[in-house]
Amino acid sequence: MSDVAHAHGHDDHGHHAHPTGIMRWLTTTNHKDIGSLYLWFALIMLFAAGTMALLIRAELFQPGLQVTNPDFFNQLTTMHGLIMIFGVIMPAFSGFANWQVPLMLGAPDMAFPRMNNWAFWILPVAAILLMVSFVLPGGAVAGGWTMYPPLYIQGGISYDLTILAVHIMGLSSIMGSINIITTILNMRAPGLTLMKMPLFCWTWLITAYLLIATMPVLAGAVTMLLTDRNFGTHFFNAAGGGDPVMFQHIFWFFAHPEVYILILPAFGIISQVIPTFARKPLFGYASMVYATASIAILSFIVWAHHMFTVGMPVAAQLFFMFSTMLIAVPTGVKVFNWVATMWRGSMTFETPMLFAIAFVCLFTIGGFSGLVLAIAPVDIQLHDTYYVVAHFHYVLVSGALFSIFAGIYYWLPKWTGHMYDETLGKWHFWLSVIGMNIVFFPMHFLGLAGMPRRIPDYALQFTEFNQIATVGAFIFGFSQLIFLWVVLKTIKGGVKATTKVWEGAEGLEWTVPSPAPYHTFETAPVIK
Amino acid sequence: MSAGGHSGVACVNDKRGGNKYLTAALLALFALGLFLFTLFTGLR
Repeated sequence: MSDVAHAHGHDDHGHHAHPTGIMRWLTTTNHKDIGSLYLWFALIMLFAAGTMALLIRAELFQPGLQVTNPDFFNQLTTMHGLIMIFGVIMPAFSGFANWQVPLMLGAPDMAFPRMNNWAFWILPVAAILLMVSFVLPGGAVAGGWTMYPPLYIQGGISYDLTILAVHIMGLSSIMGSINIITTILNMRAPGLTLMKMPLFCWTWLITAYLLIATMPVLAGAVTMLLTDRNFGTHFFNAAGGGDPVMFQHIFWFFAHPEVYILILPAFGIISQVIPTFARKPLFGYASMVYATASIAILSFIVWAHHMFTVGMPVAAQLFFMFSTMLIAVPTGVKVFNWVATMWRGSMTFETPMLFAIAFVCLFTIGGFSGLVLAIAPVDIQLHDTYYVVAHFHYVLVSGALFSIFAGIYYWLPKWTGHMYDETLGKWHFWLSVIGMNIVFFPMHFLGLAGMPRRIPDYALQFTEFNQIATVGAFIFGFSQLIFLWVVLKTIKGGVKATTKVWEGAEGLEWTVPSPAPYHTFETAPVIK
Repeated sequence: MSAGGHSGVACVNDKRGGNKYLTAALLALFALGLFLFTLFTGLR
């Protein structure tokens, strides 16, 4: 990829009158603008849902009720989950895709710039629908992010708003995915074959297929919920001959691949960062591509491991148990490849690399606790305990979120034209990694001891570990203010970033100036 | 024309658009079909 014959970007020519101010952002069809919008949206939502997490942890600092009442506590856990998944992790990865996919492919923009604008701008509408429900009669949804009936059939107006918001967010994801797949398949620079593509583009291509194959299923499930609520149908209402367990099957057919939608782009970012700071090409590129595809395919045949306790034949339990364990194989391939990339590399430990190494170590802990939960008889004991909460937070915080931090620090100099403050970046990293482990590691012990999730009060013997977790949560939460400060400071100014930014960086995005011009690759680069 | 219209024109001009409308239409049809299939699953 270093043999780029013609890979410069043109600066803004001013051929057209560009709107300014708010109209620039409302009407923009530029992939970089839309990428920035996604990332800012995700950051705002991160602080909103993070505040909810701190309220949850404040309540759980002691047994008894201190800060919330039980219903408001349930609203907090539900909204925290919904917003973190649909409002933070997914939009943040869409932001990366918008910024980086065209730059990495040598494409001038996404395939459908106007649809790209729509895909973003319906998201804030969904977010408003979700947040407004806090002040409506009955408060926000309190039935869990999984939207199970009968709770979701019985709730008030906020449940309708949430279903509408989920529809909108799903539509946004489908439009975004169509754009990403079409861009990758049709708009690569001449000579850039699929197997020469940066791994980030591969992981997003596969993620986009996952989204197209699962979001319509979620849309179907919530549509049926909506008609059960408002039009007298009984899809999931047992009293009318419906089947609430069918909702769980349909929901998890969506939601298990969703887990990989939340982590495959993270794998892509880490696969860009580690080779750069190890100054070696990615070890086993082809196996990384095949492992990503294998994980995606397997993700469709494991869904019922989320529902071992609803009752199913032993043969079905065995099938879902072993198919789930099978996912550890391609995931292991990835972890070994990252380690092999670092092996005997000329490593340096800038902030993106620190987050990437933390990702490899801590995501693996989340992967292993997932294997524990895959064992059907163990899962029946641990189902809906804090062990599950510990597991998925290791996957989503030290996995997905840390990869987002790694990616932001890695590409921020390219986006802004300035280097970030390395000292502050390292402070952010160490406080995050220490805080995160203090919050979530004790939750393994709480779960093994039998503390159920989604409760505002608990038995006395769980107090110490809960207090430790709460202290960690506040360290982790407030350390994100350092991140905000670093980002704002980098946008405002700082040491000028060079074109290549990082000594070991490879790829088309490092051939355009820093900051990346408004329009890039209007003339296709040729990859030899 | 909107701010990014310029890059939209570039997409059209430089042949890299290829079969993008066909690709997008097939993906959208698949998504719609899956949505309807899910609803029919519920009707059983």
